[in-house]
Amino acid sequence: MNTEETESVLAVGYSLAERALALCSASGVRYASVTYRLSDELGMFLKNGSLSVISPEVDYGISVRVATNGGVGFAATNNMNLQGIKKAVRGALSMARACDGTAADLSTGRPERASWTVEQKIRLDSMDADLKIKRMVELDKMLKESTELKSFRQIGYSESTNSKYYIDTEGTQVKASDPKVEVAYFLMLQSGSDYEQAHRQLGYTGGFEALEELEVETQGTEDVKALETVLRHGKTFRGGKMDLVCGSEVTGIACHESCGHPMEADRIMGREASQAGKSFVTADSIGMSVGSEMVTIVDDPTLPNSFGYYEYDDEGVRARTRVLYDKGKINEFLQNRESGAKSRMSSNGAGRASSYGVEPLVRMANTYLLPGDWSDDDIVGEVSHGVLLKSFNEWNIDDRRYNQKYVGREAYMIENGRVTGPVRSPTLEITTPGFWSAVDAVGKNVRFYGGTCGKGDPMQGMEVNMGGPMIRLRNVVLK
Amino acid sequence: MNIEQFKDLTEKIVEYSLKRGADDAIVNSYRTDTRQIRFSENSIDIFNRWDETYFHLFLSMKRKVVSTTIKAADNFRRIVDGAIRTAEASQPSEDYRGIAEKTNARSHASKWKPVPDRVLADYVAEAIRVSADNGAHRATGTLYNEHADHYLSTSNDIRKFENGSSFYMSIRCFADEDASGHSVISSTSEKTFFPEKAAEKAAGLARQVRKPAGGLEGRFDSILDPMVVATITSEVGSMSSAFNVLAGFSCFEGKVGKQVGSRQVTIEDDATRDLSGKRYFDDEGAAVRRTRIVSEGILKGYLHNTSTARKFRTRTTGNAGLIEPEAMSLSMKGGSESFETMLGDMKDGLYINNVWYTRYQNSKLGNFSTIPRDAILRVRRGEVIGSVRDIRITENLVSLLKKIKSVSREREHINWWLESYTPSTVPYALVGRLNITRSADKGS
Repeated sequence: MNTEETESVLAVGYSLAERALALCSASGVRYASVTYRLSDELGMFLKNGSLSVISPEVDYGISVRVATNGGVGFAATNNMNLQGIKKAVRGALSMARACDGTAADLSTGRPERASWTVEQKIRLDSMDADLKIKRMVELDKMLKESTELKSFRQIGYSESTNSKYYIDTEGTQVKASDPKVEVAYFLMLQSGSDYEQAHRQLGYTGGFEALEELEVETQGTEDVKALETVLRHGKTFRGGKMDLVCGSEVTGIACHESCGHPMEADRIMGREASQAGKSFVTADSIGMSVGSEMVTIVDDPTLPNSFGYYEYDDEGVRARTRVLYDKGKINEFLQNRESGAKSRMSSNGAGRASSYGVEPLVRMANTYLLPGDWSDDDIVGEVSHGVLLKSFNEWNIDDRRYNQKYVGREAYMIENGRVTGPVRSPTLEITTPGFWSAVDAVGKNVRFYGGTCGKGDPMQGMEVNMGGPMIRLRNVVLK
Repeated sequence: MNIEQFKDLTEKIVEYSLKRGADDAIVNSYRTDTRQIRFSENSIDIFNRWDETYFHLFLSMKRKVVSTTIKAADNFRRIVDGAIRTAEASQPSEDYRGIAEKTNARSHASKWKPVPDRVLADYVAEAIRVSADNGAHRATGTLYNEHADHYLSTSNDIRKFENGSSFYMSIRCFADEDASGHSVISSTSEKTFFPEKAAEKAAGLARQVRKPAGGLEGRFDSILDPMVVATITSEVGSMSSAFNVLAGFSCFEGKVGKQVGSRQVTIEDDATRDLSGKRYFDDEGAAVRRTRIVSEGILKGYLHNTSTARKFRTRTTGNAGLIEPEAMSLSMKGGSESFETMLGDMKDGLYINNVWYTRYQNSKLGNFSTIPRDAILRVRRGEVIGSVRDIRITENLVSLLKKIKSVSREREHINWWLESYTPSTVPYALVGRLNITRSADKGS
């Protein structure tokens, strides 16, 4: 859509949203919010150099959430007319009143009126689709030509310009323009009957300058070369107790899985138990030690142009940095309006919804380990026998976020302070306190990687970054 | 928009796409009314409703493939014009080989009467009550009720309509902080929807978990609950998609006619059955049918849409997915033994209720791990003697299928969240020497 069309459509959306909120207010609810979104999207998928499909989409709709003395009702519609809005409000009220309970008061006592926009240095709508296709085809060609080995490649590109509008009965009104760009690829290299794979996801909030900022081509070449090295020269790994040096990618996934997720308040309170699971953390765990003093992990939505960037969350609450683990101790949970009200800790701006049509859940944004003062050379230099785990393929963690596994993709032995030859699939299976308590050195250089975090029912994929610096774990068992 | 306007707009979009230069066009149109209740800690958290109408357009022009979605009647020409402009700027797909030219699929229209909100809330209340009656302190889960109208029109003059309803409950019950059980149940009719059965099973499993011992490691004969078997069949369905085979990421590539499982393993895709996931035609309008994927352990073939079928010089299996064929409703053949007999005959092993977080180290080789959750029971001489936690299944998909020693005659129709993502009718399965690993620092 061009700018004029977009403005015209948005004006209708804002008006209908306000009408919906007025209808809710007139119905005597404890609290109501209305969300309107318009998303202009483009996606494409290449398989082994061939463009399988390109998908331009315009997604829009309104959702209504009401909290009554019965419960919470949530209704979403893409029928953008008065009839559709009235039906949604009636539906939300009917459902809320069908529940036998009392909804938490979702007010925060701090109504906000704000508007935020992320600048696009190269506007997504200023470039024709053929230029974007050409860029992805060139990326594929580069991945293919970076190795003499046979390769299988899948590349996904997606962009979305999201216009958001959130209003509630407390007086909050937040408008946002939130553009996202993402490139993801899945590689498989073949050497005879042997294979190695890699998956990479890179994300950005802003315009098409994302591809330069994320250094997509450089990252792609590195990943192909790393797979080739492992396939050609990787030795069978012999496990045992040793030191482990994790690169930023492994540090990042550990921050996300074994710090960010267990610190989500809805999970702690059992709200996600039948889907994404629970947490080893309880409401009484503040101050409990889970790591060494070097471990301070934050979740920060305010990092400019990061994949998880926002200024106000999808419930109109101002974003701020949350210190999750502070010097190895549990410090602050992630909260949205509902969990904040139930726990009486109040929201800290972690309420996010993947579309207009789903409820905001407690979500991470950019989760990472704060840097220390070690150089990467010194971290490796003080290891007499160990492994450098630069990246991983297989990973998982139990639904309490306590037992996790990371299997190396690009990994090398370290002997007498020097990185030596590549090894195949060294495996770390370790508890959360086991991992973070073993950290005795934290590097200076933080690096981020993108991800789509899954949670909720229906499942909501959410844009996040995860990262940190190189870290060293002493005396852990690798298999 | 009434049903006639809905169908009329679908056909207009196809006509206009052809007029604007598309060679092939398909529109899959949906009117859906979905309600969902999420509950936890024995009370309802939120009652959701999604009332949506949308028109998925797929078109090709000189083998350039575009897909998009239209949500309103008043702007469909502008959206189609945009799709055509995108096609003109695009590049031909090497995989595209056309769409179904004819079909023997039939249409199906059934009457639908919405269930009152209060009745749906009562289902949840009843499930929580049954859960408590069976020893669980807390219940958490999801109830769904959906009705969908689906109309399809293609440039090959295929026009088909289908509709249907579904009821679904997923319930996880806790008898203690570390003692849980999980079960799901679904139906296409309110008359045959009994969520209390799922509550009873989940609570019963939770009750059997008593102070689970920390992780164990090694190879254990294991009875896998249908929740787990459905996760495995979903993986089989994905690996069987001809698209994934062509892409080079499937561990089933080059294995047609070869042993990929034990003789106990027969897996089909069959969306014609009157279960949730039932379809009458696929996204090209081809009739869905029963397709045997694995027969007594032998891989029989892949799942196809028209494009992949032509590439493989075979016929579509009615599994379109317009870009990639996909399994719709899987089943694993049951055996002759009862679950009780299987459990009673077990000398030393495990019963595993559910798994999650299935991830591959190498999808081409089939190497993966997944994490058991909920009831993990230790069984000796046919008796449950305790329970376990903090373990992981580390396996190879083909190896695991080959180690299935027996399957039960009882089967359940399962789909759950991200794991058993394709609805699957599956038995309990006894797997010999399942590889179990754990965190190395556990207990240290």
